[in-house]
Amino acid sequence: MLEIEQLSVSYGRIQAVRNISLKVESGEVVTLIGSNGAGKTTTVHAITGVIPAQGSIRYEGKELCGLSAHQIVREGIVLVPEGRRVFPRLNVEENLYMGAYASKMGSAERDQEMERVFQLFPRLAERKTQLAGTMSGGEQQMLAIGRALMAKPKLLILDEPSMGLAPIVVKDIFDTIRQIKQEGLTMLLIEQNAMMALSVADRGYGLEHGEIVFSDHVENLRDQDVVKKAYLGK
Amino acid sequence: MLAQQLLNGIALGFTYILIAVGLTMIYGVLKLLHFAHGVIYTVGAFSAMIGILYLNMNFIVAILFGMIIAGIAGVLVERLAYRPLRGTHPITTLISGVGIAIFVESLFQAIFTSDPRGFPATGMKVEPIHITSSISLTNSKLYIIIVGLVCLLLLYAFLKWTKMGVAIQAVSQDMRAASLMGVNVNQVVAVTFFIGSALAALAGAFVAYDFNSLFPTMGSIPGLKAFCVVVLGGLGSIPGTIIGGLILGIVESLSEGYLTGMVIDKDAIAFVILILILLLKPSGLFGKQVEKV
Ligand SMILES: Nc1ncnc2c1ncn2[C@@H]1O[C@H](COP(=O)(O)OP(=O)(O)O)[C@@H](O)[C@H]1O
Ligand SMILES: [Mg+2]
Repeated sequence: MLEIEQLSVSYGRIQAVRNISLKVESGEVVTLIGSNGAGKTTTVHAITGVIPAQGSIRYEGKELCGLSAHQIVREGIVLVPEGRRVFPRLNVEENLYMGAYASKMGSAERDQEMERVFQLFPRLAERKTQLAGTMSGGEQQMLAIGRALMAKPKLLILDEPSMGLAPIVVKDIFDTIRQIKQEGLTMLLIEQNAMMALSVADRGYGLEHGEIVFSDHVENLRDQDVVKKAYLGK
Repeated sequence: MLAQQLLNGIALGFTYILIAVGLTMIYGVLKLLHFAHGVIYTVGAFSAMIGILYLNMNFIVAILFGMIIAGIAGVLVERLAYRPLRGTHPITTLISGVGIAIFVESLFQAIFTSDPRGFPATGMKVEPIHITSSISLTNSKLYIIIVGLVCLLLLYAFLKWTKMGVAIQAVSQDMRAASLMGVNVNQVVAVTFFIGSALAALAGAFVAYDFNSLFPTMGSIPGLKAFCVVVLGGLGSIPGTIIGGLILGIVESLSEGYLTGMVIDKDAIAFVILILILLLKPSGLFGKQVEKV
């Protein structure tokens, strides 16, 4: 579905991502784990067209390198950005409405989609008219995921959904991610929290200093010494 | 006397609001101080005049014509003077805007000379309406208030209930997140410039009609005052801009009524307010936070 080959990204003279290759098959949940500053967000920004990159990003046979962010959404790749980035002075409903901006849904279909999001996150249903900026971090993360789902993504990318959240809230969010996985959505999950990430993903990649240092099925990764030492704190 | 000055002040306030709303919306989407907005007001007034004199338009059609031409001019200014500089230091775009303003003013002086001219006759005479025996208002000022109110209501409905309107709000709050939702930011910026410029043109044409006077530099003082209004209300805040515009209009009008012959000229009041706000509450009355330029 998504095939990245020899992708490099530079900020000025600093190369943040070096020749990485990565694949996501349809129906899979793939995780990209790495510590702070490894280049995870940079990779995601290259895929979603936020920053220019060298190399090849093919999605369902189409080259994405060179397209801008608003065009890539229309291909079905939707990002839940790092730090959530909900629209703080729009309310919950308006945020969700913005999520459906690129889709050609009619209003009936959009309302139906919104109902689905509210079923997934009953907390949001109780706060339809609350301004997003006044909600807790966990609620904002739910809204950010719900907003992305409104676009009916074919590939959902989540950039550190656990960032800055209390462990109990992280567990909630990952339960939802598991539920979305059950429904068959293909996902690329970016995480520092390797433990959580490996618990939902099918396959995982490790990123360090802008390079892929390992990739395998999660069962194998959980047993690997390098992964244990570096990410699982064992 | 007081009621009379208040009424005049509200009418004046609405002209400031119509100019300043565009500035505040443009600041919202691009975080840009658009110093060429004053000349857009001039373009609006002159286009309306040309519509009447050379294209046989009636008053209303000429005003709409002025709004459309100014809207297009605003979009062009963004395209030519600001977009190529996006991502550079804010001072760079600011200078670019000042450059455009000087260029357009000079161009108008070359074409129309610097001399003031009257607003062409359309059968719409400016005449006083007596509300009570001591309070009156010219019909032109009444139109400004009515048209201003209608425009603000339409703008509110547009921003709240249309897809493009909500997208403008979203871009103002988080441009990157909006583009990740599929919003074409350049399109939103263009629409914002068009609307803001058309509203400034409306003010320009009405003021030219009300004072029966047009000249190439007519937009410079109103443009600067609109900045004061936007800073007073809080950069990027539309409700703040509305309150700020009314405050400036009323204060100016009262000072004209009560402080004639004082040391401070009426036109200086806006800048006194600006300095006070920057000293006392730099984020403005309704501002969220101050961003360094
Ligand atoms: N806008 C930027 N300009 C310059 N350097 C950046 C920028 N964004 C990230 N970097 C650098 O690129 C590297 C990778 O960052 P990032 O992709 O954000 O890592 P991660 O998401 O894995 O924490 C870091 O060294 C970071 O300092
Ligand atoms: Mg990151």
